[in-house]
Amino acid sequence: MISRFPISAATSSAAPAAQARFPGEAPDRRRSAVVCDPDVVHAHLVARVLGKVGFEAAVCHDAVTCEALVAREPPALVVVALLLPDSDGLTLLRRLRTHHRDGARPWFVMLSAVQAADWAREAGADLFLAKPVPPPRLAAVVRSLVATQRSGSQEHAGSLPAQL
Amino acid sequence: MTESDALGETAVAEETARPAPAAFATIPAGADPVGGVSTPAGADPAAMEGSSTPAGADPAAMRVYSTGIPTLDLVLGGGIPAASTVIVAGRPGTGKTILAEQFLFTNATAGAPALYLTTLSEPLEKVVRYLQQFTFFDRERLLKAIHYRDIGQVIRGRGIASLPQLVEDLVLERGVFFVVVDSFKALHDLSESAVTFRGVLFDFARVLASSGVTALLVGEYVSEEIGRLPEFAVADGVIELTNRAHGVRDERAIRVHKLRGAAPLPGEHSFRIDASGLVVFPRLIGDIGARVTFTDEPVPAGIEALDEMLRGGVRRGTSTVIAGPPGVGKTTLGLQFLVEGARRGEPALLVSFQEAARHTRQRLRHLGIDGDGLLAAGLLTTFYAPPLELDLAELVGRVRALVEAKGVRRLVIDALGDMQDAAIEGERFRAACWTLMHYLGNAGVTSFFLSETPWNDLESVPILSAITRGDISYMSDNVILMRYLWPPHGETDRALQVLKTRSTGHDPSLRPFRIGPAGLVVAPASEAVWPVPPAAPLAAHARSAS
Repeated sequence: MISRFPISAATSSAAPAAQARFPGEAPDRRRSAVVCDPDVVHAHLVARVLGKVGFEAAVCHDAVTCEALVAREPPALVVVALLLPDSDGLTLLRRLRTHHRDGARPWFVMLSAVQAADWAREAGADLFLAKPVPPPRLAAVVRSLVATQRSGSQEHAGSLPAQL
Repeated sequence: MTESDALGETAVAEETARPAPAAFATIPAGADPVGGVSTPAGADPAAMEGSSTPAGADPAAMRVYSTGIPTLDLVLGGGIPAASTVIVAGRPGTGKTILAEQFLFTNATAGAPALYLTTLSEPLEKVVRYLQQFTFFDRERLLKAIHYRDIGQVIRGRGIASLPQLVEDLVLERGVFFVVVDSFKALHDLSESAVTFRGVLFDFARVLASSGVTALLVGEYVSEEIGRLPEFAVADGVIELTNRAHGVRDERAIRVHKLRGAAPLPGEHSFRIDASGLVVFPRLIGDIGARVTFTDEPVPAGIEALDEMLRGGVRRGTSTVIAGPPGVGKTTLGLQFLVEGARRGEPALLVSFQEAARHTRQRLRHLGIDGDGLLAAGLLTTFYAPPLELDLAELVGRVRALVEAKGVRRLVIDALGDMQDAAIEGERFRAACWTLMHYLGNAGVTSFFLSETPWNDLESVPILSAITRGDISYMSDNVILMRYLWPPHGETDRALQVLKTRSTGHDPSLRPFRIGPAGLVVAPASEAVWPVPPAAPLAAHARSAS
């Protein structure tokens, strides 16, 4: 299920020109992200924060929809929760990783109130954050994450601690 | 009651058929937390030693689920009956959600999962955040066995009438065995009229009943709503949690208003909440345990003349009140009694509201006794309970647990006055004393209850009025009185006498005693002071002593 958040304005309609963040990046180019969290309010909040750091985020609330979104248009960043209605974030991450073994692999971030940094790392997350995450912190973390250079198309885990 | 098997093809639920469990015995809660098909956990026979079945109950007939809290299972008469719908009611902050969560974490498995339905649209992550501080939290179970759904949003959209079908869909989707609805009361707000709600309620209850799930409906009901709102008539059980303020103290209590298919303990039972969740102290009035076999023999205190006055010693399994004014030597006498037992290989327990363990060790050292050695060997145990926030039900429970754990044969309670002060109502003090004395008697534990008598009571004859503090002297088997003498008798200013023994004879003479380096030394019969000297100016003695 993809939802439109009822209260806020569109999540990703900020004027592109004002959002340039990355060295060498054309000001009007935005990266795509997928946010998967059954908590509708939280998912849209994360999407807003990602919007401020240069992402255009699609929001979904279950594993099946998330996989479909990622398959349709491979994003640069995927943010998942641990507890999902039809599956769980770990299974989802493992599946997403296999789809993208070749080619540009997205950054995988897990957000959860459950202390699951070890699980997240094993499942292939690049980062685990414990909810609730204050928006400025999330923004800072995501910025530093994507600013890290990748070596070719291989795994980039290891250049950052898996949990912040 | 038939075994619940929701879909016919999934695993048999982990149920444990059991009679009312032994007090404080650990009840096996179920099979492994994660994994597919699990075999039903059978009742562990070793845990059932000494258990008593409620009169008339057929152990095989009613299957129950443990709440994860052994003493709460005791209060419930075994646990939550399978396939029943139980309301957990109480004001906010009373611990309802914690109880429901403990139940789920105890029973839900991947093969027999649970549904946690919130009507308050509280994000699961928020629930989890607070849940993680409890030791019963298990993230594997959360991931694999507990399915969380926010039905508040859905019901607000579709209307209250959609509730029964929605729950049925969710129950069937995962083949769940357990359902928690939090909060059920909030559904009233989503209903346009009481009549509408009642209709929905009946359909909902039927869905639960036909799917055979065991359900806990959590709600912030106040006491007067219990019995008034329709769900209480429909539910199979009602458990109420309260938290009353008594002056500066909080008193948490749990009461089972009804529980079909079970024989719960009546009345209110106190509980606390700590990192393990709810800790319940059953009000075991009347439950005094089974009588064990023991020899009716004298139990010497190791004080020669006193044992002689008692024809060898108080009888095994009897309770003795030792009354006397402050500083006269009650605690020393009690300690000598315990140490004598420890020396003979009889484990001893000191329950003190007056002194922490280190002070007791100091006392023992001054008496030339290797207290540390006895403590290390488990022959002597000290239990210090600060008298300030004492809960009598908790105290009785802890004493019983210690007696059972250590195999205690001799026990001293120092002092009764602290227990009486701690009791919120006088009735509770007497009930706690009665329960303790009879429990200890049945268990073959020989006990001394130290009782402090005020100074001025010594001016009156009979002194018995001071001893009948709280009217408990009639409950104890024996009474020993210690007092100051004025004028002093020879070299000593104190004396003791045996006022009463229940069945054996005793020497009633008043014997002077002194406290020597190794403890009490009581004068032999030849030096008895008889008759009782006049109680005249004790005030003068009191002044000179202070």
